[in-house]
Amino acid sequence: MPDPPGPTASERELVHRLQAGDPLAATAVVDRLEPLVSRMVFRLTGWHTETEDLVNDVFLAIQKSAGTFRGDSTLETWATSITIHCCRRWQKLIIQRRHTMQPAEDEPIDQQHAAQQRTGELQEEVQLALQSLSQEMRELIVLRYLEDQSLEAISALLNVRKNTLEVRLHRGKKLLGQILAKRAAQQEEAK
Amino acid sequence: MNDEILRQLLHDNEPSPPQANRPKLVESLVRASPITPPLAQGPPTTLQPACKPVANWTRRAAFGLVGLAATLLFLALKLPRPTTPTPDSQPPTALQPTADSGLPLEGAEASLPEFDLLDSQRISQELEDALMASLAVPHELPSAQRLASELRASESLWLASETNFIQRATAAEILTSLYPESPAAQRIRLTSTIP
Repeated sequence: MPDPPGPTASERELVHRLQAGDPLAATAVVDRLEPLVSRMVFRLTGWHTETEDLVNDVFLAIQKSAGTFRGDSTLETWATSITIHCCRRWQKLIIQRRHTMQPAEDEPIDQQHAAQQRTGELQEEVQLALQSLSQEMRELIVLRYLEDQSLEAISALLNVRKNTLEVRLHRGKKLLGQILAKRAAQQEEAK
Repeated sequence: MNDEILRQLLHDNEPSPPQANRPKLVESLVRASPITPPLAQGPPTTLQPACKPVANWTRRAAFGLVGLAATLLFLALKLPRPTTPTPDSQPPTALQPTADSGLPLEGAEASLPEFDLLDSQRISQELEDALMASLAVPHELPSAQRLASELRASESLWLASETNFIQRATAAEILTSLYPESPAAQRIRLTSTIP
C-alpha cells in the first residue's frame, strides 16, 4: 500500500474512529500500519522473533494515544514514534527481567548464544552484534541504515539535535564494527 | 565502517520478520476500545429508568414509614387496657371533651398503662426492628410479591388514618402519591378533600 503524501483530515478521522472502537477503522489501521509496526518492532528489538505481544501492545498504544494525533505528521511517522517508545519500554523490561533472573535461567540463553556462535553464520553474527548495541544506538542504526531515513527525519522523530545524532551514529558504527571484528576473531580462534 | 557497507551488511543479513495475526490485532483493538460498543452495553429498558436510585430510596422510605405506622398501630391495639378501676376514680364519662382526632384530651394519661423502663426499651426495640425490616424490603421482589406488599402497606396506612393514629391528610397524601391505584387510596380519596 503506497504511503499517503501527508497528513489529511481522513487520517484524523480514521484515528478518531479507531479510538471510538469502530471495527472498520481498526481493520483499516491494522492493514495500513501492521507491516510498518511489525518491521520496526522486529528491527528495534534486534531481530527478535517473539514480538507478537509487543506488536499488539504497540497497536493498543496507538489506539490509546489516538487523542494526541494532531495531524502534524503522517500516520506512519506518528506510529513509528509510538513504536520506538514501546520498544524502549520493552527493552527496559527485558533488562529488568534479566537482572532478576536466576543464574540457572540465564544458562539456556548463554547456551543459545554459544550455539549460534558455533554455527558461525554471518547473519547470526550481525544479529548478535545488533543485539549487543544499546537501545539508543540500535534505534539510530535501524532508522538510518535499515529504514533509510534522513538525519533530519530521525532528529524530528527522536527529538534529538542533528549534530548529536551524527556523533552517536559515528560511535554506533564504530562499536558495531568492533563487535563484528571481535566475533570474527573469536570465530577464527575457535576454528 | 563505511556507510554503504554497513547498510548492505544489515540489509543482506536481516532475517524475514514474523507474520502478525491481523484479525487478532483488529479484535484486540475493538475489544480494548475505551468507549464501550453499544452492543456490549445494551439499550436502556423502561424497567430501569435513569432515576432508579431515587425511586429506590423513595420506595424504601415509604416502606419504612408504612412499617413504622403499622407497628405503632399494632402496639396501640395490643396495649393492655386497665380493667380494674382504682377505688377513688370514676369511670370516664361520655361527655369528656375530645380533640378532633377523637382521643380524649384530659385523663388520657390516666387511662394509659404505666410503662416501666424495660417496657419502654422493649417497645423501642420493636419499633426499631419493624422500621429496619420495612427498610430492608428488597425492591427486587417479584411483581406479585411487591404488589401484595404495597397493598398491605396501603391498607395499613388507611387503617392508621381511620383509627386517627396518623392524620388523615397525611395518610391521604402518602397514599395518593405512592399507591394512587390502591383501593385504600381510592377510599380515602372519596372520603377526604384530597383530589
